[in-house]
Amino acid sequence: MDKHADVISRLQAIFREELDLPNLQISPQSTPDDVDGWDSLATIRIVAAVEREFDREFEAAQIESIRSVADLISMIAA
Amino acid sequence: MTKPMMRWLPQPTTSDIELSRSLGGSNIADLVRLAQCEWDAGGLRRLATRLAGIQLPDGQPTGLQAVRVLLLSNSTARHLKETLIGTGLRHGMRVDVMISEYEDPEVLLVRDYDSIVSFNPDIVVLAMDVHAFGLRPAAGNAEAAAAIASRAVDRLRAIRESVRSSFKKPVVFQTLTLDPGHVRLHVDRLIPGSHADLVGRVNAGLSDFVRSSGDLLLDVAMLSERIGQDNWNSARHWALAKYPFAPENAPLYAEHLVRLVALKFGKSRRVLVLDLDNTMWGGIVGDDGKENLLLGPGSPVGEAHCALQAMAKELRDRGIVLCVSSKNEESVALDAFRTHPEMVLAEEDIAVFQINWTDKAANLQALSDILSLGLDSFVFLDDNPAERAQIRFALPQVAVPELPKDVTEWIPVFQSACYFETTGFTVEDRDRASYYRADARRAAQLKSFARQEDYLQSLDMELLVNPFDAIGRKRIAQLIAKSNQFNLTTRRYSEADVAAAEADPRRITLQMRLSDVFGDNGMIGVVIADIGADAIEIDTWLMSCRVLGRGVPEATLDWLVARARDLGKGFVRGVYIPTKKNMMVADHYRNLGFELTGERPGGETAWELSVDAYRDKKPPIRIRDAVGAH
Repeated sequence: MDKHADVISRLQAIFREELDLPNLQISPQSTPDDVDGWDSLATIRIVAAVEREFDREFEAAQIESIRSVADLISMIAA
Repeated sequence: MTKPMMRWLPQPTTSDIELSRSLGGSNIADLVRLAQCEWDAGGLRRLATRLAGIQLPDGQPTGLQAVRVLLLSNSTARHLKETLIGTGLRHGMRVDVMISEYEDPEVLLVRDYDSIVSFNPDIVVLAMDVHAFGLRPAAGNAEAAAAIASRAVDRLRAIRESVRSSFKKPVVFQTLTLDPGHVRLHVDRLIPGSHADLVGRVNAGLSDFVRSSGDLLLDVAMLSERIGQDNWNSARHWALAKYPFAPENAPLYAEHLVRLVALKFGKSRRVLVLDLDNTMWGGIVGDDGKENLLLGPGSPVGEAHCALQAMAKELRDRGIVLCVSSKNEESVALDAFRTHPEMVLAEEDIAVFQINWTDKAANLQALSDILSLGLDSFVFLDDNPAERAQIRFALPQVAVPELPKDVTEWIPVFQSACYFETTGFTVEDRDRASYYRADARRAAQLKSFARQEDYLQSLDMELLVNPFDAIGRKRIAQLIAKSNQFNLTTRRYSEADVAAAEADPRRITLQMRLSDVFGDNGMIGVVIADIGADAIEIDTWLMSCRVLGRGVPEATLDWLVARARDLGKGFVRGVYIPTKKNMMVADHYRNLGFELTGERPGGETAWELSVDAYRDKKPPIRIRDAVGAH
């Protein structure tokens, strides 16, 4: 599995878990507008789970600027 | 799951986690059982979701106390909602939460007045943190400090009045923890008007007010100190979303808040039931003897058991009823309790002693009947994980703290749970424990717990039976030297004797290990038998009392009879030689279906079992021997 697809699939597992949507499909283009229950507090939960999963810690300014799954992917890649 | 914060709660197993994701239908009992574990916010959210999905036919009671909580917060609190609902299940409540946030409570009470009225809360939580008050330092100015603090307390009093006049409901106040944004130095304790001084004054004023108003106080300051203020706060989350404390602390906060709320609905713990062996003291009194118990100064373990007793005594002074439930020979255990010079607890501190060989679930049920106190007011403290699991399984309403392996680590874990939270303290509380002193009111014959069989099944036990060997020799000799209670003949053999028996073709030797869902219990039994002309003659049969009541003797006999058949023998014979310590097995052979064939002066009895007439007892234990599984 290439690295990018691996990140997406791990993110998808996190989104499913944190939003309690077992069949959710996400793509880099997914935004809070098209994912049920993805509000600002959900972002904080998702980021906490991403930090645990990828053993990283992000800055408040980065978290604040998340507008899509793609933003998360580039934060993880940075 | 992040690292455990509430070590008194068991961790969820893999199958618990699976169940929390999939549980459907109307199984509230399963949900309540799951909620007894420690979950992170995600796990509690899942439980809340499962609860919301439960559809009960109209009028069918849930068995849960319905409680509506209004939480007013000057910071962000919405993320606490499902954490609180999931935690409510742990305490037998179906909590409905309305959260009004992000403003001063005075504003919220006006802004959201209509929706609060239609929500109709049973209890109001004033979740105000230090940011609601600012408490900007007035360093060196004692007068200003007093004025700032009393303004804050007056403000809380005014909010209280407004809640009382609008809703007439009890209020939970919160003490303040320091704002990490202000200067905090060692010298601040010496400077009137420092931030630390102001927070201390507000907390003192608030406590005085709540003491007189009869409301509840959630001591957030204490909670944050317990885990460390640097762990309590998260500057990043405050900056991002105005979280009053780090989100990973939400389950801990909820546990303490919900326990407090439960008090208002008559749910309080008032009874502490203590085990004796390896709990009240170190060691097993029936095997080791009173003089060899670890209790008192001189060893870390002995001191830890003393500290545990001191803790129990302190609880008794706070009105908690103490009971003892122990699998022991009553006279032996009571003698140690009464006469061991290092005992901190005295006999009159204990309301009821239940010392017998019956399972503890039956004993707790009996204690509840004797004291007329519901099982949901009980806390059960026992070093043995199997006993703890049995109580959790059979009597889920009893609080059963998990304990670290190391007894020196018990007290902080137990104390952190705050099991015995109350709304206040009165003279009657102080004297309550003595009302329950039930001299000689020991329940007579107890019926074994009805679900014992289910419980044993759930243990998934396997008995590993092997002949003596070089590896086991030391431990076998140790058991032969030490076992006094479950020991039919109490014949003592040295390690050399054990080696000789191992090599003797006319002898059958057995060393037994028992494993179950909790792991390996180690070597728990030894049998030595002679192969006679027409029978197997049991010379030695002993077992560790830790695994009493699990069906091990029955499994052992099934194996022995099968062995007798293989050898073409018609009988299994055994003798019972009484000692001061082995009364518990006086009827061992009778209970297993042996016939009495002889009695000698001194109480020695001889027994015989016919192999042809024997029906396998088949307890719920898999037997695995050198030959294979049966």
